Amino acid sequence: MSTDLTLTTKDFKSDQEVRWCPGCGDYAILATVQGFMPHLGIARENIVFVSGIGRSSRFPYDMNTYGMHSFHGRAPAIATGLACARPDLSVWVVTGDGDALSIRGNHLIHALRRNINLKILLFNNQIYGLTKGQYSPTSEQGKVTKSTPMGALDEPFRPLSLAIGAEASFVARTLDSDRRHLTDVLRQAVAHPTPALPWSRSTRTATSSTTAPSTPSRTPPPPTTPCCAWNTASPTGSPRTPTRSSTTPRTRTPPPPSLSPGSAAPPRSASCATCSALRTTG
Amino acid sequence: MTYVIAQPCVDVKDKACIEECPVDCIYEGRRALYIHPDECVDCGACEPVCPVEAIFYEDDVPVEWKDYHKANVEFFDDLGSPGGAGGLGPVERDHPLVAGQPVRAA
Amino acid sequence: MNPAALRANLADLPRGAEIIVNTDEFTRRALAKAGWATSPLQDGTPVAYRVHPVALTTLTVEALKDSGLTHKDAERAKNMFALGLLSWMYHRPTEGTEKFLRTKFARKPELAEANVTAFRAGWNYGETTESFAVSYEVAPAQRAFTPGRHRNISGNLALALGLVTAADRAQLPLFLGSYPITPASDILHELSRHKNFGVRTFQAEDEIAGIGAALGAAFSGSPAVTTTSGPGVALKSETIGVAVSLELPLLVVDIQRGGPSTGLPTKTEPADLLQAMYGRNGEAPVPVLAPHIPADCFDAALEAARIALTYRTPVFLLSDGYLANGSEPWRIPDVAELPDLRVEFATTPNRPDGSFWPYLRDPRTLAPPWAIPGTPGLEHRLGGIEKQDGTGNISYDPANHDVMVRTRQAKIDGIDVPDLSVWVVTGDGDARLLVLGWGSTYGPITAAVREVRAAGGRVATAHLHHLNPFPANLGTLLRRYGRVLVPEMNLGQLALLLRARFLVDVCSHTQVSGIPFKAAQLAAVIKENAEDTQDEEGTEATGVH
Repeated sequence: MSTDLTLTTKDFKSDQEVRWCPGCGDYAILATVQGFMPHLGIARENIVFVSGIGRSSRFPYDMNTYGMHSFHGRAPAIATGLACARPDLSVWVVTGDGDALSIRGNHLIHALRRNINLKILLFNNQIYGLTKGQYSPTSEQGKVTKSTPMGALDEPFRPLSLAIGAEASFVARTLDSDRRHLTDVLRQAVAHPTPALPWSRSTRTATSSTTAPSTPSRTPPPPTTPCCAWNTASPTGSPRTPTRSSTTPRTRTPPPPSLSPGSAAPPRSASCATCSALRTTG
Repeated sequence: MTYVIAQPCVDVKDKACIEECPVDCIYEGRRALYIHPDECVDCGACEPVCPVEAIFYEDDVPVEWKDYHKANVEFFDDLGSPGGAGGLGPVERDHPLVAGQPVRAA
Repeated sequence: MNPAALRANLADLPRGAEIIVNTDEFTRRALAKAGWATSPLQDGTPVAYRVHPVALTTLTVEALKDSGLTHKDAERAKNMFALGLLSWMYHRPTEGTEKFLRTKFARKPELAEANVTAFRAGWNYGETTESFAVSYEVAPAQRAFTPGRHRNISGNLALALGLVTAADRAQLPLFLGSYPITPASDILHELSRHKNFGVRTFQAEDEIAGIGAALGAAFSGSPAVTTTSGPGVALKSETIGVAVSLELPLLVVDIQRGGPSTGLPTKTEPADLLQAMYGRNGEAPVPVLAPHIPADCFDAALEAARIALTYRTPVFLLSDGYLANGSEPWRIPDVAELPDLRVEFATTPNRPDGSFWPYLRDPRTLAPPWAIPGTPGLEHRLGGIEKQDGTGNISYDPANHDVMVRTRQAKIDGIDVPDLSVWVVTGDGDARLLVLGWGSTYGPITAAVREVRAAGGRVATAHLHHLNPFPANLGTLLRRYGRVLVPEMNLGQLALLLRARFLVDVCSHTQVSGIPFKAAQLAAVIKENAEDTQDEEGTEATGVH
C-alpha cells in the first residue's frame, strides 16, 4: 500500500480543538499516532477511524482522516462492515476499557476471531471517564468509585488474555507515555501481514461457518487482525500511582519493559489527574 | 504547537511542571527548564501549576518574552529528541538567552 | 468565569443585568477559542450590562498564599471566592456555607480552611469594593411552600429517595440494574449508598444487561428498576416488551436528554414520549408517568411503583436533564402520608383442582398473580411467546392471541389514575384558552401564564402527570375550552396523542433547542392565543375548577 506521498504530522491534525483533561495520556497517544501516520504511506482519504463512546472515542475528531464517532460499544461491528465492503481502506478502531470490554465485549471477541483487517486501539484508564467516575471492567477489585462506594466486587478483565482467548492474531500492550515503544507497536501492528486478496478472507469465513471446509487439513489462516491494547495504568510504585484500596491481595502483572533503548525506570503513569481523582473518590 | 517556558522560570526552576507532564518533555538546563517542542503533546497540564506563571501556550507568550519560544526550540538543536527528561537527566548548559539573564535576587 | 461562558450566556441576560467577569481567564487564546479577536471587555460588547471585572483567580491565589496549598490547588478555590462575593451581593447568611465546607472537608482540614478563606475573601471583596454598590435582599419564602421541614433536593436525588421509600413501603428489597449514562448516573450513585435499606445495585456491562438483571430480580419478587436516558431506552426496548409479556413489575426511568442518537447528553429534551408509548414490536402498552418539578420526582417514583406493583407491569417514568439536575426546596413528608405499597404474593393454588394458573387475573385490576420462586406448589414457567389466557401455556391460537392483546391493553387502560385538575394561577374568571403541558415545561408555563393573567389575559392551565393512561376526565376537560395550547420541547408528541385520542384540534407550540422555554417568549405566545380565543364565539367556557 505504499505511495509516493510525503505527508507530515501536521497533515493528520484536524482543526478541531482537542478536549481531554489537561495531562491526559490520550494527548500522548494522539500525538504519537499523528506522528506515525505519515510513515504508513497511505493517503489520508484511505484511512478511517471508527470509535465508540467515551473519552477515548473523541479521537476521530482530532484526526484529519475519514472517521465515524459511532455509538457505545458497536465500533467493531461498524468497522467490520466497512472493512469488508472496502478492503482498500486502512480501518482503525479507537476505544476505551469501558467501551471495549463492557458493552462491546461481544463485538470485540467476534471482531478478533474473524480476522477482519482492523487495528483496534484500546485506551485503558481503568475507569469510566466520560460519565464521571464509575468503575470499569478493568478497575481493580475493591476499587472505591461513585457506583461502588463499598469497593468493586468484580474480578477485572485482563485485556490481553481476553484478546488471546478470542484467537486474536496480534496482541500488544504499551504505555501512552513511552512514545518510542508505542510507535514501535504501531509499526508492528501495521506490518502484520494483510492478505493480498482480502475479499477471499470474507468468503472463506462465510463458507466455514456453514459447510465443512473442502481442504482436507485446515491450514491456520494467515493472521490479519492486529489488535493492540494500550494500557495506561501506572506501573506499581510510580510516584503518581493513585491510592488503591483492595480488600483481597492480588498479584499485579508488571508492565512490559520499554523497548526504547537507554531508558532506565519504567515511564510514569500518564493517567491524568482527573481520572486519578475519579479512581480515588468514593 | 507547543507550550513554552519563559523568563519567570530563570533561577527558580520550581519543577512542579515536571511532575505534571505526562510525556516527560520538560528538560532541566542549568538556570531554567525547557519544553521540547516536538515531544510536547499540548495537554496543558503544566501551565496552571507553575508558581511563577512562566508557562504559556505558544500563541499566548507575552510580547516581551517571545524569544523564549525560539530558546525552547534551539536548546534541543544538538540533543535531538531524547524521548524523556528522566532518562537524559539535567543538561549542564542554557540557551544563550537564558544564560544572559541577570541573576535573580533571592 | 471565562470568555466561552460569556459568549454562550450573554443572550440570556436582560439589559442592565450585572455580569461578574473573571478577567484572569480572558487570555488571548481563550478569547480566540470563544471567537473574539479582541476582548469584549475592551471593545464594549457588553455595553448594555453592568460589568464588574474581577481578577478572581489572582485574588483567590493571593488570599491563599499562606495556606500551604500549591498554586494549582489554590486556583481551584476560586469558585468559593465567587460564592462569597455572590453571598455578599444577595445578603445570604454565611454560617451555613462555612459549616457545609467544614463538614465536607472534615478529613482534610487544610482544604476546609482554604475554602472558607477563599469564601470569606470573596465576601470581603464585595463589601469593600466600590464597584459593587448595589446588593439585593431576598426575603424568606412565606407563601410559596407548605410549612414543614424542608431540604434542598435535586430531581435525581428525589427520584432515588422515592425509589428507596417505595421499596420500603412495599417491605421488599429494591433492585437496580443499570449502566452509567448522562444524565441518569447520579441515581445509580445514590442508590449504591443505601445498602442499609436493603437496596441492591448492579452496574451491568451494558444497558440491556442492566434491564435484564432488573427483570430477573422482578421475577424473584423484588421491586426492580432500571435507570437510563433516551439511547438506553432504545437498547432496552426488547426487554421492556418481554416485561409486558411476562407481566412483571419493572420501573424504567428515562432521564430524557437531547436526541436523536447520542444527541446532546447534557441538554434537556422531553422528547421520548412516543418512544415510551410505542417503541416496541407488536402491541406492548406501558403506563407512562412524568414528574413536573424536581421535588415531584419523589412522588412520581412512588406512584410509578404503585402502578407497577399493583398491576404487574413495566412502567415508564419520564424525567429529564432539567429536572434531574435542577433543585428546589422539598418538604420532607411524614411517614404517615406515604402510601402503603405492600404486595400480596400468591401463596396458594388458585384453581379448585389445586393447580396454579399464572395468568388467572384479578377481576378488578386484570393483574395476574405474582408467584415468586421459592413458593412451594406454585412452580410455573413464564416466557415471551404468546400464552393462553389463564393457564399461561404457550398458545398460538388466533382467538386467544386477540384476547390476550386486548386484555393487556385493557389492564393498562383501566389503571386507576387521579383526574386532572385545572390550576388557577391568579384570580379567577372565565378562560377559553387552556394551556396543557407535561414534564419540565411546568416551570416556564406557570411563569408565563402568571405574567399573562397579571396583564388581564384569561387563561387556564393544567399539567399532565399520567400520560398513559390519560386521566379519565381529560377528554371532557379538553372539549370545554375554545382552544387548547400544548407547549412542548419536541415536535408535538403529546399534541399528536391528544389529537388521535380525543379528536380535539390542539395547537402545538414547539421548541427543540435543548434548553427550556423562556417564560417571556412563552407568555407572548400564550397572550396571542388568549386574545384570539376571547374573540371567538363558541360554547360557554367555565375555566375555573
